[in-house]
Amino acid sequence: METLSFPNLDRRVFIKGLGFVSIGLILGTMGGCEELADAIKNRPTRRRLRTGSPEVDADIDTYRQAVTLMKALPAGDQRSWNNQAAIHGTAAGFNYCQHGTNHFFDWHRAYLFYFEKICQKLTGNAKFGLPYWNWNQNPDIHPAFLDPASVLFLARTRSSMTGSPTITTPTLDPIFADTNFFTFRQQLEGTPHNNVHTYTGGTFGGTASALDPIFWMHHCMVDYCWYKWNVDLGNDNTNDPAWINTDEIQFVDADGNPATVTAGITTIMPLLSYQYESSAIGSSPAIAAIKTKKEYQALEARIRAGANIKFEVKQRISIAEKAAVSIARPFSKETRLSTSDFAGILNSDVATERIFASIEYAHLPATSDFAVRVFINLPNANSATSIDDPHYAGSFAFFGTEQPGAADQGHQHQQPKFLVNITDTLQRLKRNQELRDGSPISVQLVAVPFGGKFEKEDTELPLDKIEIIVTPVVIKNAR
Amino acid sequence: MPGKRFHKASCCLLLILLCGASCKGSSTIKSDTLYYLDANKRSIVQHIELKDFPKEGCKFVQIEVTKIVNPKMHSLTFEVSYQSEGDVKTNLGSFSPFPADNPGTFIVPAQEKVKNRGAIILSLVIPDKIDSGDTVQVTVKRMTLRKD
Repeated sequence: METLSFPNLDRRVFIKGLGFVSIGLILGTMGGCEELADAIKNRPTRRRLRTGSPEVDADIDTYRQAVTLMKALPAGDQRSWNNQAAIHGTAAGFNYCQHGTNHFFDWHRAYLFYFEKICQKLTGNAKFGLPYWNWNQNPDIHPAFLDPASVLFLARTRSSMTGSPTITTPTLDPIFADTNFFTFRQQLEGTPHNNVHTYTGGTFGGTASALDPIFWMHHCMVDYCWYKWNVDLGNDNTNDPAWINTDEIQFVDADGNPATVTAGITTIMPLLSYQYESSAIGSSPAIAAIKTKKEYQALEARIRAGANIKFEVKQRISIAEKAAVSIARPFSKETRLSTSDFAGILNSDVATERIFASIEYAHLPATSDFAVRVFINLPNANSATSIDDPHYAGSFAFFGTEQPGAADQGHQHQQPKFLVNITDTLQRLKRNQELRDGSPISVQLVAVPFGGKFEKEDTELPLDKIEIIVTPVVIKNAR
Repeated sequence: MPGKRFHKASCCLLLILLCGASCKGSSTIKSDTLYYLDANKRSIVQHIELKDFPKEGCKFVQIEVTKIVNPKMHSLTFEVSYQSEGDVKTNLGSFSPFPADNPGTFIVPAQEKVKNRGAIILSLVIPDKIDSGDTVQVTVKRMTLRKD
């Protein structure tokens, strides 16, 4: 099976990689690279649950609203409070959650990810991030969860972790000093994670624990522990393909559809979809947010080493080859393909494969003040065409354009290749009967200046080839 | 009376086997040894034998909890300590089952404090008040010292 990879994530490709993964990961929730870059930069912040912070108070208000709305959803809605909790477990026992296995971290990260998306969708607050209960710094449960009249309340044995040794710095420091992914997981799960459940007690102490609203704040802290160990403290996750390629299942997306994610993808979720407000855990201090280019590059280097992105190409169809394209002139190419060629994917709600337009350039332009939008079956598309148009599929941009001669100075030259997921657009056009079975699919590339005007209108984008590829998303770690 | 002779021989054989097992047990604790903890017996001491200690050093103490009877789901915490030959006790770490009657395998970091002599102490901490009729029974396998 053919493998397409991005082994060298320089700054430009890094953004491409994130764009690709996000398209696969956050299906349909973001339009393309322009919005994606902004969305990553401004991704929701998960703040430390505490009193005296207006931002945290606002997060609690949103969470309270989300819980209320989820509890009001009909029993058949998989996003309802009870159904969400039942994914993890019910009073009868655990269901799909991973405990005592090497997928404890990643399964719960994906569970939180989709739960957060549901909260965002139901409340209309796309900036909402789940607050985390840092029991090491704040052993008491936040008062908002202790009011019996609140939807955030459920009877518990204790309202504070004070008195338990498992969340204290002398206990946590040796755990965080462990550099082995598997034994770190085993310790973090068995010690603070388990004890916070049972010491707090009540429903939260049993297999139906996710019914208690504090569950999500506790697991957000567990996720923050993993993040801190991995990102802040510089420890590596496993690169075992068997771990990375494991499908974590039985989640529900913001629209109530079934969702699955690989363990490997969860490792980069905190860099794509949410960010943590830093705080201390034990003797590991809060880390200042990344602001400088140097810090960003250091993080980039870690991502490069830790999450080399690959996916397997099951089908590859060339639709255009070598062409000189000016950014001021939209490019359109009609293909011999039709929706019938992808019927298995387009007619299924549960297909795991996706259809991508792969656009490869001979080299990148000298200027990078524009993005390229991809449309399907809209030959008249131009820079004024809205991204709300049903034919719009996505976009990509050129970040950190290479300086002339850089490729000769020891930098590895890489063929610039961009991927846009066109599956949803094809399905939408088919559903709207704007694309009928048997009628040809065409692809349009439209350059759009960021500031309303091109810096150099005569900039050429030498196209190497355009392909339509069919692929399931797979992430493999290079190390 | 062949039946009687057979009975006598069987008894002798049984005595020999028991004696053998007993003598062996006096010098070595078998790896399938089980320990029992409950509300009245809240700690066990396992002496470290040279053969148990990894050549590369001990990184973790592993505790396999095989059975927990805890119908009232009292929160349980297990604290693990190392006691040196000089009786100096050092806390290594703690763990909890979740839910509170769910067995499992746990590890605590040895923190370079566990030597090839001395003992590992496992203590059961129940922060809740235990009523006289409450049952809390825990079965634990012989603890092992892991090099990684």
